[in-house]
Amino acid sequence: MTVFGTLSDSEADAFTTSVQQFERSSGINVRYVGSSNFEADLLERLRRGDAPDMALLPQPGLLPTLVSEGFAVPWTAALKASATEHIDPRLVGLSTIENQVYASWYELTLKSLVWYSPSEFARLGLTVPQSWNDLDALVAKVVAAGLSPWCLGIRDGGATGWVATDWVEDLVLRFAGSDVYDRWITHEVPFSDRVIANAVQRFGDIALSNTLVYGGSRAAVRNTVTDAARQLTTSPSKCVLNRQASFLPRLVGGRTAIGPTADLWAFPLPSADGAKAPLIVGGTMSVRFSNDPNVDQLAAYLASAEAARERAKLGSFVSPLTTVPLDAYVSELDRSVAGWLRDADVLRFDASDLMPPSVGVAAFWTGMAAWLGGARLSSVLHEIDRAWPATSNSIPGQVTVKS
Amino acid sequence: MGLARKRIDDEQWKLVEDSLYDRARPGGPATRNFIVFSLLSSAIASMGLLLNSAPAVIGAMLLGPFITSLLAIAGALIHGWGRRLANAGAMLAIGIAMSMLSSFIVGKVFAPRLADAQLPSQLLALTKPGLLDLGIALLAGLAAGYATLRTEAAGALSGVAVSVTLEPPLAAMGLFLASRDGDAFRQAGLAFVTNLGALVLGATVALAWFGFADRSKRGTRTQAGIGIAIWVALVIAVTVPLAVYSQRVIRNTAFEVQVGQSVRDWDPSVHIVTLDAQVAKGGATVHLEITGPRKPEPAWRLAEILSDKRGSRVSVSVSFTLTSEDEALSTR
Repeated sequence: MTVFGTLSDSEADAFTTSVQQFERSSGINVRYVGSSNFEADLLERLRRGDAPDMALLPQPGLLPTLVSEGFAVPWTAALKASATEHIDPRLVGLSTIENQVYASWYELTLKSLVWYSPSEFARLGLTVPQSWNDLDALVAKVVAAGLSPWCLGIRDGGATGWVATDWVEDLVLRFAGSDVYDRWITHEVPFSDRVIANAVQRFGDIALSNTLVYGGSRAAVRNTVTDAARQLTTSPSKCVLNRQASFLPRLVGGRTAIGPTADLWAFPLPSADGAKAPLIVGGTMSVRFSNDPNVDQLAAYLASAEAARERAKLGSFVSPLTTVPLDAYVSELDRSVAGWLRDADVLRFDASDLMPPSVGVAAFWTGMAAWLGGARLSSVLHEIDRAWPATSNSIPGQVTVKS
Repeated sequence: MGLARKRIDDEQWKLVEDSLYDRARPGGPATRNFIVFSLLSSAIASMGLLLNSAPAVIGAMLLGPFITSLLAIAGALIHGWGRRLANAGAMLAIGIAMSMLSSFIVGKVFAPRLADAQLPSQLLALTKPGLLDLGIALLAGLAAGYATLRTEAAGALSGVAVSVTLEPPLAAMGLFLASRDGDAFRQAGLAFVTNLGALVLGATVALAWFGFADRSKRGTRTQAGIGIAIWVALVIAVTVPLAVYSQRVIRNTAFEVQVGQSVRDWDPSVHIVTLDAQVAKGGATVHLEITGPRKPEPAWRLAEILSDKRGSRVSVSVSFTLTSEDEALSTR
């Protein structure tokens, strides 16, 4: 049985280790194959009749294509329960198309985090902000201390720009609201709309500032994502804050300790008005391309709390299942992320992963990179709108996502 | 019989002893020259390595002053002369420090950042010591010992000096230290240690075999025991890391062959430009640079072919450059 996905290195090892118990008990051998060019490779495999048995899909935006082209096999009634029970209904909506469930959530990543060094916070007399005004005050205090508040870098090879789109998504959700966010995903609200342009400009006020970003106004396009993550860990820190997903420790590497009193820790990016922070998540869902009973067994296992607990033991993993107790997570970060997600009032999926791939993982990324490199914002937003396909498959998130 | 074991006469013995141990001691008459030539030879070797210039590196080897210290160490080991061993060792340490300092400065000035892709081939070779390097060093040590004892072979000393290859690995260590490349520094260090150990071993055997071992000149039993212990330690210092390294090289080379064959199965249209295949604990990694007339097959398929063959995890990264030709002709 082959599972195709984007996991690499230690994540791939953790996945294969976590399914060993299933392999022993079922006698089914699971092979994981990962690709950095996942989306194109998966479609190419499917279209030439070389389908893997399952895929770990990081982009729900690809699911409608897999369904409309007849590749994704709907969950059977028996499997459907495991894919829909004890999971936030807003997430289930993303795996449901025309009342058929086509996928089961396997893993979640929290995007809306701000990372910092607790010792640097203590040295500068800073406290975790509870609102956007608090965050502005904190940033002003850091500038007054002669330091750069933000670490920022958007370069990441073929995926350059995703950090900028994550920033913009967080700002749209906070300052334009969840309703606009949902309509933006379907292009009902276009990129060139004033509310979206304002959110992008708000990001530009930070990213293109000479004083707010370490390295100045062009640092974002000069730095890689990894450079920016590591700038937090130098001693003394080159900058104080980095808005980055819960996987930042993997970017930093080495022996950096993660915890409220350790080398690095994080807080949810505050809301605009001081209410509970709205959160954006990314995640991975398992999709099957075969009716084989062995595939059903693996699909059921991956959707189970047992599989989640096995994987949680290895760290750097948060399950979407509410039945996985917080103490099943071995790391303080995983426990905290799971807690923040369960506690969130407004939870949305990463917008770029829900948009059609020609926009979400192409024009939006490259457009933001071009704008930070000096292009005119209005032209960039217009170009992104032009990249939206004339007829796109329905976005599953539209079915039930409501805050 | 030129190679038959033959004890040298007392006059020659004394001549060799004086020339070695008078020069191989800190504070002796040769110290100033030793330091100057250590600094100069390493600086020339460093620049030669950066320029990939074989003549410059050979010139540096000719200037290199280490041969006397190495032979003095070998002779002291045979006889168990502790003080002389310490003096020669101290002289060698001074030379190593001076050479590293010199190459470090050259590195800081001319090559503060050495990237793998830009490493000149001679420098790159010093990060990959192998059994052949060990063989060369052993034979060079033998030749040095023989030429020192036989006046009729003194003309070969310049050739011996070139074979005694301590300057290039030392220069490489200094350059890699300057560019903060820890892995390459360790590999060059391994090349240096194996060369040093093998040279002393070869010289010890040659000196003992061709007449420098004279029971009447030996130190106490304890001193002789210390000499043997150091000799055994040298054997271990040379063979253990090199055996481990050679085993890894053999394993990686076999894997490279396997990757080359698999690439032909994977996509016959591509041409391999560079291939780096490493087998490590828990899996293997392949970095492949290829060219071809069209987009190659996806990398995951090559990873799958290789992991099928090996029965373990294989991680593949592929960098592809399109080659295209376009010719045209127009007539009226």
